[in-house]
Amino acid sequence: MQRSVKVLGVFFIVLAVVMVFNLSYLQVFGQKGLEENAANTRRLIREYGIARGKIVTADQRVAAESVQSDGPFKYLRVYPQGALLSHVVGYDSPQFGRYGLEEEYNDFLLGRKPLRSWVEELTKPVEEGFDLYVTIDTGIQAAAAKALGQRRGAVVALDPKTGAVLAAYSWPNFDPNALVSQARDAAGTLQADAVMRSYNQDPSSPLLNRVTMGLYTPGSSFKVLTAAGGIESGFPPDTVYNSPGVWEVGGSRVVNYGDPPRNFGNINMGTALTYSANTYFAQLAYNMGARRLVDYAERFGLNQPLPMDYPSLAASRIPSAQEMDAVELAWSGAGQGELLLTPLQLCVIGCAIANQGKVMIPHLMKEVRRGSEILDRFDTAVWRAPISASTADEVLEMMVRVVEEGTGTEAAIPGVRVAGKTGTAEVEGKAPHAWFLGIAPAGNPQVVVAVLVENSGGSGGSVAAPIAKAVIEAALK
Amino acid sequence: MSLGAPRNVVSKDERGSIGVTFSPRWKEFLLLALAGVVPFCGWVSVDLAREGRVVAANVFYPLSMVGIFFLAHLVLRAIMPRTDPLMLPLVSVLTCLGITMLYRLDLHMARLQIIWLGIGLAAMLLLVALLKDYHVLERYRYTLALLGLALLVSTMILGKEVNGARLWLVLGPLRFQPSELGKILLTIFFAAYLAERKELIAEAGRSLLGMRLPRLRDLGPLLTMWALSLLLLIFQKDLGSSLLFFGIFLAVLYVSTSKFSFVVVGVLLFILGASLAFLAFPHVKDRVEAWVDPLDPGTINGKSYQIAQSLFAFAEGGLSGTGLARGYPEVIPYIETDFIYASIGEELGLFGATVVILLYLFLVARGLSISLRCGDDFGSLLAVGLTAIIGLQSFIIMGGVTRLVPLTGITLPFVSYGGSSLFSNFLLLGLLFCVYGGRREVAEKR
Repeated sequence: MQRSVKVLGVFFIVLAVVMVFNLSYLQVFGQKGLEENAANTRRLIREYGIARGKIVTADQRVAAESVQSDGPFKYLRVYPQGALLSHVVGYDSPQFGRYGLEEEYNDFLLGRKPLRSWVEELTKPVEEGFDLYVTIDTGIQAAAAKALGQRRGAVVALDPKTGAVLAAYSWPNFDPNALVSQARDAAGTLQADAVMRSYNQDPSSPLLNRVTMGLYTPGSSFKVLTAAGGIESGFPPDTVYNSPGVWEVGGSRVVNYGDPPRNFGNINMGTALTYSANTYFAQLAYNMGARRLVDYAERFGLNQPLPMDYPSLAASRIPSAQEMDAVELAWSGAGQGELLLTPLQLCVIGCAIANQGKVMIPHLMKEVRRGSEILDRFDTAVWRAPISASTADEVLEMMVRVVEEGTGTEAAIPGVRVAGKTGTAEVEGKAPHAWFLGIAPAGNPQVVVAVLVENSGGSGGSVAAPIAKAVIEAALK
Repeated sequence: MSLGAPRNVVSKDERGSIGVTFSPRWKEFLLLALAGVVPFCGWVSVDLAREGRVVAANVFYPLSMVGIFFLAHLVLRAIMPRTDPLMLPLVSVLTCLGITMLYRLDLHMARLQIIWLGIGLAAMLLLVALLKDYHVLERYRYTLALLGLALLVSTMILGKEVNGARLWLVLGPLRFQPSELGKILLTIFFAAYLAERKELIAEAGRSLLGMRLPRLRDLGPLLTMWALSLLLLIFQKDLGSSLLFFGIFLAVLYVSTSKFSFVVVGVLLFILGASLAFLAFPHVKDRVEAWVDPLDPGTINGKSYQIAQSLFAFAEGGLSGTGLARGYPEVIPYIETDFIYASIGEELGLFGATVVILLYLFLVARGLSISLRCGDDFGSLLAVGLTAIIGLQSFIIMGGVTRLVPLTGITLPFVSYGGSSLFSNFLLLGLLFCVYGGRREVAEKR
């Protein structure tokens, strides 16, 4: 009997060892798979148990805040500005995850960053996140929304001296409150599911932030870059080209607008920009060569994501120099061809012109605060300097003429020297996109605005310029 | 009553090194003091996590737990000169850990559990004081067995269905789970019966296929009792207790006869029974299916919700745990009773969960050593049976919530919330003390 008691003891030791092995698997080796299982709501409950920080705009409006709820999640988001800031602020939903600033600054909003002291970390669990103060001004944003109205497009305004994003509006947009709502219908299904489905199926892509993700042919607005690159490459503003209505190149033709295509004769760069002469910029690009045109485009930020504190950024595109033949090069100089730009990219080009050739890092975050204590702030810095200060000033002066007497007169504001460039981008099989790049005041630029209206049918000067004007007026107020 | 001066003997062993040895009683005292650290640490860390400061008034909780154990220790010193010095400290760590988890999960339950701890320890001391010679139990084995069966049957007639199983007797505000006490009574019966008949069962009878089959009349009453209790449990849907009864029976049978063939036959019988239950009872089928694939998206929010959430809790804990009151064990239903081990795994991690396993292993080791050192068959078998209850019950539920075996609802001894469970387990501990203490008296008489 003594022996069998010992056997029983060994049996229990074996059971214990097996249990410890099993635990080690569950808690250490197989842990990852269990933690990431879709039915594991712990991460969600943990994160939604924290009163997430507020998002506050530059004019002290609350753009997002957490309110207590009765459901499984202790706190849920509300967005007092609704659709107005939908793409910038994004959403924070237990079901659909995060988007926009809610995604970009999640760690700050949850109070995980900046790191707390050791004593705090050990004694007090995070209950409240930190507040995010952003550069967006709802006044300017509302002006952009009002001016764009119910037209597919995007408006973005930057402060060229700091890189602060003053407004970024994209339409169609979405209602973030409907997406984060936990309301259920009589059958118990989450109403937000249907909302999300309708957004995803909508052919006009309301969830797409056209400011940062929309890629469009820039049309004549790109001539600002061609001009700046040209001056830097040794073609000063007084370079004169005979600019006929049609210019033959590489077995194909570049044509001016107008019917029949307008013949400008011998003009310099300023006049060419003022009246948007395609054949002038085609010749300028042709004479610069593809290598230099692409080089300057990339200096301004094309072919790479811009360094903005926003999670969804598309890189604007220009083909490589080797891929460009003479026709492609000539048309690229005039902003047509294989080029694709985001409205944000055009605005960044405008910032270099407005800020003496230097591009400041575009950013949405101003500060992170706990109550009134500032925990972190965005240190503004020069991202890069694609062109010299003198080139920038020369292009800026040319752009003033565009608004004073050229294609952009619709953007003129009494008492303010507005600089600008229009763009009417031809799109195959569809109505052209209307563009406008505006800078004001030209003597001391405070704001750079890029406007895009998708397939507007009208020209940049008639459709996009008035929108830019309204935004500039709001920004200079 | 005299506690006596600490008989600390400074001795020189053969190698010349000096070691300090303590008398068993002072060993128990010191170990209890060490165990007392657990609830105080728990109190401080729960309060810090929850309030950001230590709530002084809540010192009531650890103080009362530790106080009750010290009181029990002092009384035990007075009424029983010799007992195993490790048992009470081991049990106190488990109980204090359990109440600390309850303190973190549900203050009201923690308070009730402390009251039950007092009642349980008092009952244990009363048993130790009254039952001077445990052989009395041997004499009343059939009475006790009938009492045990009556307890099991009582729920079928008087019981109240809670959570789909009729396991509870409700008496005003009191709820009692008779199977908790029934398992002890039936274990006493098994031990007494087998102590008397073990030779006959092992040696007499015909041989079949190289295995000796015991005569029916030797094994009959035992099998009848066992089958009856099992059937009762199956019809009450108390699968955990059925499995436990079966295990205890096999353990005691094996130890008494030293015949491994009985274990083989028993396991085969079990497989047969389990297969029949799987086919016959939908709730058994559900349990098995939830065990095979708890993460099946089709059942994860239904039948396998509990076990899946329990696994998530363990995963959340990782190596060192989230820290007390920093995890989310509340999402698991029955976290205070059947699933309390999941909350330990989540908040104390692999370290804490392993310590619990080791505590039970030590407890089992002490129980079996009591059996080994006991001079008579009944005492030995009783100690084995009682120890098997603790070992098997803790394995069934810890293995259940970690998906090692199919989940069956049963309490984690000394840790889970539950008055009848705590009460019965302290009686069990008292019986083990009796066997330990009775040994010498018997030996002296001889």
